[in-house]
This record gives sequence, C-alpha cells and structure tokens, in this order.
Amino acid sequence: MGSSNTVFYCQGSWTQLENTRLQQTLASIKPQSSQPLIIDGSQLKALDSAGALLLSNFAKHWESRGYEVQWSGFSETHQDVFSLIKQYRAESLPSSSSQSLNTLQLLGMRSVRLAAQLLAYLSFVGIICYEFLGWCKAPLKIRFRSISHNIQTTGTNAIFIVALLSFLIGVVLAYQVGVQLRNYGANIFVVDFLGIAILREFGPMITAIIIAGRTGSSYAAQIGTMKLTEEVAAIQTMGLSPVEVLVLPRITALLIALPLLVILSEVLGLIGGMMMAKAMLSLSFNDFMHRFRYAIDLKTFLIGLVKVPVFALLIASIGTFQGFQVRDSAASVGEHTTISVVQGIFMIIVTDAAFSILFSKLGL
Amino acid sequence: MSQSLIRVENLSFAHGGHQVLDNVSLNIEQGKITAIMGPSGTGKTTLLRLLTGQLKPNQGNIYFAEQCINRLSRKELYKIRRKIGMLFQNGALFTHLTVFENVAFPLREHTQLSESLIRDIVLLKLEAVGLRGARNLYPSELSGGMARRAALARAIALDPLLILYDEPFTGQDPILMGVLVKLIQELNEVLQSTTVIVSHDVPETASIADQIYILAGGKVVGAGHPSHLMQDPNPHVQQFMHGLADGVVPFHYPAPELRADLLSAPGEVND
Repeated sequence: MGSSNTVFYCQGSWTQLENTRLQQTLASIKPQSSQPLIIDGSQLKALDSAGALLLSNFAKHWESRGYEVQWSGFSETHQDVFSLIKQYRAESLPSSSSQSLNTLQLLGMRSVRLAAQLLAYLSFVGIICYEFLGWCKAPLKIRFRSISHNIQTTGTNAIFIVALLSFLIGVVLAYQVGVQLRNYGANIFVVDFLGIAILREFGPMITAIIIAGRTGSSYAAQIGTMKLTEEVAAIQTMGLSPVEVLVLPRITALLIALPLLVILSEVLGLIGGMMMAKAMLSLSFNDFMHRFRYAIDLKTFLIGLVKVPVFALLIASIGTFQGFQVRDSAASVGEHTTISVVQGIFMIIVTDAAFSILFSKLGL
Repeated sequence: MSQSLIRVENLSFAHGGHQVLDNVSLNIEQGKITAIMGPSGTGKTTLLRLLTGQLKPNQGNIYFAEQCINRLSRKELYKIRRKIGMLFQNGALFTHLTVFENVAFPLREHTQLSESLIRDIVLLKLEAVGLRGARNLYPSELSGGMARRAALARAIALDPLLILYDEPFTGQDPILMGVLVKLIQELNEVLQSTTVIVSHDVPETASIADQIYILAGGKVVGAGHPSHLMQDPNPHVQQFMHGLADGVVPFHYPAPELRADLLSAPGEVND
C-alpha cells in the first residue's frame, strides 16, 4: 500500500491470509482533508471477498466522514468480487431483532424441558412395566440368551474393578476410624463400625455408583448408537418392540448382577478392613471374626441388600432411557451418555437418603 | 386397474412447526413398483415412517389392505408390520450379529420354525442377494453395497407383502446400482410383493417403476408412469426429472437475508 496525493495503491494479495496485516495498515491511514480519496487497484495481484470487504469498509468509513471516494484501475475480475459483496452489503446496521433471554425466561424454559423429560421418563417406565407383564404372561418369550450375555458384560466383567475398589475402601475406612478408636483404646469397635458401614451403606452405594458409571453409560451409548444406525427403527418395522428387545434383557441382567456384585463388594471391603485392623490395631483375624459374629446381625446385611434392586432399576432404566433420547448425531450420543451417568449417580444418592429416612422412621 | 394395497388420503404431517407433508394422497397398487420421488428434504422418508405407523399423521388416513394404519392398536400394528419389509438407507443391520444371524433374526422372532428350516430359508435369501458366501461376516466387515444387500435379505426374510426401500441407490457405485435395480425388480416379481421405493435417483428409479409420485414442498406435484412424467409440463416435475440446478425449487434453504445474518452479533439467535 503506497500513498501519494491521497491516491491509494493496493498492492500484492488482498486475501484472508493477509487480512490482519492489511487491517492494521488501513487503520493507520489518515487521508488529507478536502481532497477526493482515490483507491487504485491496478497493482493488485489477488483479491478475495475478505479483502474486498475490508476495502469497501475502509471506503465507507471515510465516506461517512465527508470524503469523496473514487475507485480506479480495478480489473474486471476484481470488480466482480466487489459486485458480489455489494449485492449483500448492508447500507446501514439493521436494528437487532432478537434480544437475549433473561434469567427468568431461561429458568422457565429449563423447567418446561425438565418437566417434559420427566414425563417422557415416566411413560418409558410405563412401557417397561407393560412389556414385563408380557414376559410374565409368556415366560417362553423371555430372552435368556440376551440376559445371560448382558450379565456377562455388566456383572462378570465388572468383578475385578468392584473387588479392587471395595477392598481399598475397606482399608481406608478402617484406617480413618482406627486412628480415632485407638485414642480411646476401643480398638475392637472397629469391627462394629466396619460391619455396619460397609453392609448398610458403602457396599451397596459404592457398587451402584461404579456400575452407574460403567454399565449405565454403556447402555446409553449402545442404544444411542443403535438409534443412529436405525437399528432401533429396524426392530420396530419388524413388528417388535424395541423396549422388549433391548431394554428388558438389560434391566433383568442388572437386577441379577448388581446384588451379586454388592455382596462381593461387601466381602472384599470387610477383608480390606480386617487386614488394616490387623496391621494398625493389632486385631487378629480371629478376634475380628469373633466380634463380627457377635456385633453384626443378619438384619444389617438384609437392610443393605434391600436397596440394591432399586438401584439396579434406576441405573438400567435411566441408561436405556437416555439411549432412546439420542437424536441425529454422534455428539448427541456423548451428551446423553454423560447425562445417564450424572442422573444415575444423582438418583442413587437421593434414593439412598430416602431409604435412610425411611429406615430411621421404621426404627430399623 | 389392479387392486390397491395402500391408500393414503389427504395426509398432513407437521413436525416442530414445520409442515412436512401437506394434504398428500397416494394410491399404491398391489404387485406393482411404486416410486415416491422428490428433492431431498421434501418429506419422503417421513412418508415412509407414516406408512409403517412409526409416526402418526396430524390429518388424513392411511389404509393398508383396507385397515386404517393410524387407528390400529399397538398389537394390530405390530402384526401388520410383520407383513412389511423395509430396507433402510444405511442397512441398519444389527452390528453384534453376523449376516446369517441378521437374516435369521425376524424368522426366529416371528416363527416357530426348526433350526434346520431357518438355515435353509436364510441361505436361500442370501443366495438371492448373492451373499451366501458372506454369511459368517459381521456388518463391520462388509462394504456399503454388501451391507445394503444383506439388509435386503433380512427385509425379505418373512416374504413380506410389501417391501419399502428408503433411498436404495444412494451412494452406490454404478455397477452396484445396476445390481440393486435388477434385484428390486426380480424380488418384486418372484415374491409377488408390492414395492415402494423412496428415491431421488431419477434414471434408476424410472427404469423399473410402474408409477411415480413426485413430492415437492410436502405436496404431490406429479404422478404417473415414468415416460409420462418426463413430458409433464409442471415446472416442479420438469426440474426434478431433468435435474435442473435452479428452477421453482430454490437453491437456498429459507433464511434471513444474508446481510442481516452477517451483521447480527455472534451468539445471537435470529428467529
């Protein structure tokens, strides 16, 4: 860009790549007053729409300040680029027609969406119950193969991770409580604490949360992907119910697998606690077992286990429901998989709290 | 004139405030190949979903063999769907099952046939589409064309009265396109079924269809035998049948003026 006597020669390439530099150059130009401003394009090598837009913005800027702008020397191709721009160029800024939503409106929109989601979930649960009735009426229709396959993937394959994490949590619990109990010389009560805490709360809840992250999400992703590939629609056009084919086996599998995993988790948690108690509080395995039999009754174990089928139903139904909510794109699969985990864990904790209140009212 | 298998009467369907189908009436004759054609996004696939009862119309009725599809109970609808085979755009094979198991799936679900009989039927169907040798492959190991043919074998597993094809020719190489055209025609004759093709590939579809309906903007703008439609004076039909870039069907999706779009601040929603 060179200037003499308010003639501006455009040189080189006026393209997107050069845009930043050109913008800076143009901003630094201040034409002398009372003379027409001439823009000359004869030395221009290349011009694209970004360059043309930049140049016509520049011209407009000075025109609005009372300068006369003249164009000269632009080749025919370059003029074509300008005419393309001019076609769509705004003469003045239109007043913005939309306003951003205020907080109250956003809150309203979210509430309505949430209510619709809740309604959809409830009707989904309704369909599940209806299809379960179908299975009960005709037990031969139960998809045992699919169920056992799902038990394999959700149960058997989760054994290692559940066992390891439960063992470690047992260790941590015993350590934290052991520090306190040692101060009072009440070492033996670590057994009472571990027994009640693990059997009633930690075993069921930790396992449920692990499975919500592991299985709930995979249910959502599996069904979501099947929706994208139209496999769900294919099942429908074959005259079958997608809920019956895809959801019931998964729910049944988790109903069977989760309690077993919880029991495993409780055993491993207690073993972890037992080992920590021995190392830290010098409580022998023998004493531990002896005290355990005395301090913990079957009721504690059962109270913990009662909650588990509810967790299983929640995890499986939320996961599969979110799978069916997937629409149109792979991004949607990811989104609903995330939602299934978040909602799953949320519902597990809320339900657990509800059970605690219920049990305390019942005096259990 | 032969008997009609499907009658669609004054069908309207709106989705999200957008009128997808507007007062559409069709007549699909038994044993014939009927094509529903039109530019992308004119509600052809929606119409197919309505035919199988996956969607419910806002107005109008669909009769399948004199039964009103949109008023059937769930159970009756599922029963009718067993008489319908559908080929999806991307095959929609079950990815966790082999080709053989995919084709056997509807048989296992809806019949009490013995395992050896199922095997015979599946092999026959796979033979018909030329994939008998690929029966132990998984869908992920198939090419696009093979997947579509395998899905076709699954769609005809139960010898359906009606076979629906959703864009069967899209994205196929010329050889495979020829194969599919021939297959569709043969299956229609051999199974004595009725065929409905939804497509926008004019030459392929026109070569086998007995009757074509052209949809544009949610309305039927032309109907008749392919040769007859080629000479139809309606500008929509002309533009579509002859593949003209611009005409009554606009190039642009409805949008605010470009300048308004360009000048609105980023992040704002203009609607």
